[in-house]
Amino acid sequence: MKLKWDNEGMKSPLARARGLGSAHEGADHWMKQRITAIANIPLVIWFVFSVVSIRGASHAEFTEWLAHPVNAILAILLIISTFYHAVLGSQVVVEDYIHSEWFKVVKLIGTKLFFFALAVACIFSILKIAL
Amino acid sequence: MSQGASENKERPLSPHLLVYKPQLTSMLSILHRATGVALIVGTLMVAWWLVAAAIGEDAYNGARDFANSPLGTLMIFGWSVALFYHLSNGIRHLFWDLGYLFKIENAYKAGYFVLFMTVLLTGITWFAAFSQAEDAVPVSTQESVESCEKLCASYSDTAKDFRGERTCVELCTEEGPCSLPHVACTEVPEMKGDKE
Repeated sequence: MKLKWDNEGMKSPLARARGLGSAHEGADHWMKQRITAIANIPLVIWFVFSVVSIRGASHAEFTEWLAHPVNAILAILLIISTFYHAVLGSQVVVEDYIHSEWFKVVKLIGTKLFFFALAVACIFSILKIAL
Repeated sequence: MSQGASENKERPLSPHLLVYKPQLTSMLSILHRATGVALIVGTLMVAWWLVAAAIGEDAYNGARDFANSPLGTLMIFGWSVALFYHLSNGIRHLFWDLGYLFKIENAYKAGYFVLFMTVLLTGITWFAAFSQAEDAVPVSTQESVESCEKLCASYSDTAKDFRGERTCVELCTEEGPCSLPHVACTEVPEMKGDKE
């Protein structure tokens, strides 16, 4: 049987290692976690300001606020960036602490489906109010 | 290993988490994870809030009433602490990623700074939120337009809602007494600063 790396004799060890971990993802997860973290900084600050300023608003006032394009766009960006960050973070926690293989897989898949569904629900709600 | 354990249960174990003296660095590290997991609860509250607003006024009022209840307020307070800690310590982590703060003393200094920022940001946020709700009228508990308007009598005629648009009486008659926000009839907050 010919192994995959038999054909890669011309590659340096670094080139083989780069982007080709056992999961074939390299630093992808690590990098995405950092990118969403950086995006979260301004988005979360905007979110806190918003919650403080619209706290206690009536339904009419809240929907009017969310219907403003800037607020709707920032809200959707916030949902995507924070939820993605949450998926990546909880994946690491599950991988570190849950040692039962089948339960780990269930948790990993369940977490991804859960956050995807939650993000769709949030983004649809924002669009329904804003459009 | 199981063989050894059955032979002598008193044999020394390899060190694990509980035998180490708690240190600021290790405690902040585990706290970063703990707050990260706690923030997932916060995302559920955001989702509830948004979906309820999309469903309609009754659902939205339900979510708002929960947020204003003692339990809801406590949860939001915990959420804000977790959020500001995770934000501050996350920035500390980004500095590590860039190669800074690796000296033990600097890691400690940044750790104390993170705790300071958490307290400061939480304090500023809740101060801003409460100073805005000063003299708040618990209008949502009013049962009729009449009792709502009666309550409005204790406020000056120029008192406006938190956006500075409508007076207390206008809110009572336009939106119905039970849909009024609890900060509806406060004075125009100074911090808005765009009126007069």
